[in-house]
Amino acid sequence: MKKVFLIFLVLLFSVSMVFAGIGCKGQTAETTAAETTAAETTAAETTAAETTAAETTAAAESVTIKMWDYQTAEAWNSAYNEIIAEFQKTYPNVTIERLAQTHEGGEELVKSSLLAGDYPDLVPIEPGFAESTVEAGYIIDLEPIIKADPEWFSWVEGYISDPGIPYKGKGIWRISADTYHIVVFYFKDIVKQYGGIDPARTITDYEENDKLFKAEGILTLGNTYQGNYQAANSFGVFVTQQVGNSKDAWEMFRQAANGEISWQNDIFKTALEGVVRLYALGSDDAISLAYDESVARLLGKKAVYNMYLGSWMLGDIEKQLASDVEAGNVGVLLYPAITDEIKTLFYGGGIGAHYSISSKPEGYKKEIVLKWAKFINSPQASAIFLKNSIMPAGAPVDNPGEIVSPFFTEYLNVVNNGQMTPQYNISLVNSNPEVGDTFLTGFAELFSGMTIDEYLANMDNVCGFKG
Amino acid sequence: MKTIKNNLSYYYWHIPALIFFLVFLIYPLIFGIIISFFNWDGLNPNIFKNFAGISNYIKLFQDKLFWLSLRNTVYFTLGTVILQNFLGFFLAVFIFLSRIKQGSLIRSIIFLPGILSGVLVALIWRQLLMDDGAINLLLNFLGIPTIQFLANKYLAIWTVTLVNIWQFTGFNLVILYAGLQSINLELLESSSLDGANFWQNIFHIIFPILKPTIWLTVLFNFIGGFRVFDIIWNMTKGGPAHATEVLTTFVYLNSFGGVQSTNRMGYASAIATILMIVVLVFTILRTKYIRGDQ
Repeated sequence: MKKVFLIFLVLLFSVSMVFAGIGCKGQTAETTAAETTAAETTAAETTAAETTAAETTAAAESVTIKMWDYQTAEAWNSAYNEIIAEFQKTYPNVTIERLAQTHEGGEELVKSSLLAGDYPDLVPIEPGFAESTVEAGYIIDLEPIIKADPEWFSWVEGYISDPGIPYKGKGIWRISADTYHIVVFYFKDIVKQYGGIDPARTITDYEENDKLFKAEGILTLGNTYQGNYQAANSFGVFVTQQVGNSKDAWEMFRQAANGEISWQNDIFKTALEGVVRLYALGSDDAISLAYDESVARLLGKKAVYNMYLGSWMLGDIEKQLASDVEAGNVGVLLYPAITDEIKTLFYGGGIGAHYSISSKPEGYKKEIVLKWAKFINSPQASAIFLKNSIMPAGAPVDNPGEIVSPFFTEYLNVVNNGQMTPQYNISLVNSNPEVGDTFLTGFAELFSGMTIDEYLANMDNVCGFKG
Repeated sequence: MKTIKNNLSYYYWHIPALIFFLVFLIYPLIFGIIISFFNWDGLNPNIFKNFAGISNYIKLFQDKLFWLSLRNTVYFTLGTVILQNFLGFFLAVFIFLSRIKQGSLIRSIIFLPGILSGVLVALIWRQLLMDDGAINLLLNFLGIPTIQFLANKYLAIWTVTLVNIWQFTGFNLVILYAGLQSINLELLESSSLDGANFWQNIFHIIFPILKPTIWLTVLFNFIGGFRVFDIIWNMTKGGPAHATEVLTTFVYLNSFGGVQSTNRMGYASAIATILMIVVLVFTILRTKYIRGDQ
């Protein structure tokens, strides 16, 4: 009898907890959806004009804004400290807490915090989990808010047409602090010392230089493919080089991912050959490097060429490799061409540190959060970003030449000789977990002995290409 | 009446522990099993929106990655169980029989890694084992080429297994040494006088007496092997190319998704449920075997 009673108690308790959980979640979903609709209307009206009431409230109520992003470079801390100080001149009652993490750990934190309901006011949402986030009502759509503010719209017009977070065929707008370009940083003094080709333009040039460096026990490529998705980026760039423009390259990836065309075509095959050739120039453990370890190889001057790092690193390179930068030893290259025939060099890029606005803040706090989000794209913020060698996404600055460092100027000169290609191939394949995993993990398999034909055949199989 | 009151007050003392047990063990367990029957992405507050029935389980048994992670888990667990018990047993026997003065100090030193955080152990060993880490530098100095301990897909699983063994052999040693205390040394002395050599003493006296203790450590190692996460996640994140993907990292990957991808919490719960069943079956079989043996 006792046993039966105890078992009954356990079951009753568990079932009641489950129903309690359903009840709470359901209410949150309904409340959030209603709040979002009302708040969007309120925000659009409030942001359009600065009101006396808001200014009066500013003096009275202290607000803490939390923001997360993936920019862990030290230059970003310097830039944001200054931008926050600038913002606080107008809003001294506002405290801004920023948390920067690497992508690897940061994304997991974002997802789990969304689920827990404890996420920041400015939160980075990736396309891969955007649909769930939008459907759950965790973030607001910035489009009506920004469009209702002509000044803000003029500042972001240049980048806001990026598809943003995909949701039901439409892009949900998000703001970005910077635009990034992925390049190759290299040490000119080492190349010169051993009589290497400088600047190296094709993969063959890199391979010729590798013969010289290997003989001296020097690592040619420090961080070839730290993380599978960086191999994917190189793959995307090499496809774009052959196709000639990013729009058609993107369409090719889309069709292949949907099984409309075969992955086993000459363009993909040549691109993968380029990926494998480059991998051979680096250390075998490059595939397993963490982001911080990869950065350490560059800043520790442990290899000649360092790929898949970009504009977000400029400030840290200037600070931590100051003597090398001053001596002109640090050079910048675009991704190598897979063949001599390639005329235009592309580089992966897009909007960088991006933020969606949480649907949680209400009333005055929401006004301030939106003002802060707008300020990140203001001319004042852009000037501070440029000063820290970060490429701002927002408002242009008068006479940027007076602000940017010589190293940044050299960087921009190199980048302006190429063309940007967005990293859509990664987002595209990640929209289907099985396709994404085969695509990304396949690179590690390629470097462990799988042939290119096997890799492409696997992709056809997983994407459902019938022939 | 007094008897009833005494019995009830006996149960009152159990209530705090029972509440803890229910809230932190039973509820998550049952909740996890329930959501394994739903397609929940782990983000939408409406958890029970899409009922999946047993489709998550069907998908699971058709998923190549599930079988790969199960295989890796078995390799890891078998390696751990066999080597940890082997090393722990012989270290315990050596310290016990040699009656070495610093025996307790030696036991403490060997046990020390077991009290370190798994994350710390993983990060330290990762640095040691990388291409430019101390171990490869030493190997290169001795004329041995660099070994891809963590980047070679055939070697990586055994590398993480050995790190785990390094960390927890002391645990086996301590338990087995405690078991050895029940052995009367005079028994061993008299068997030696009767002509038994060292190995005969080990296999015919010490090992049979220690069998229940060994089964205990096997059980602990088995459960530990199946639930390993921190060492693997911080050393290799299940890579390269899923070569060190085990069931727990596979659950995590599906719960929180890879970089820039979505979550599959319902599916992850199905994996976790299967994991729980495997460990439960082993525990029941082991308990039955021991009872039968006794």
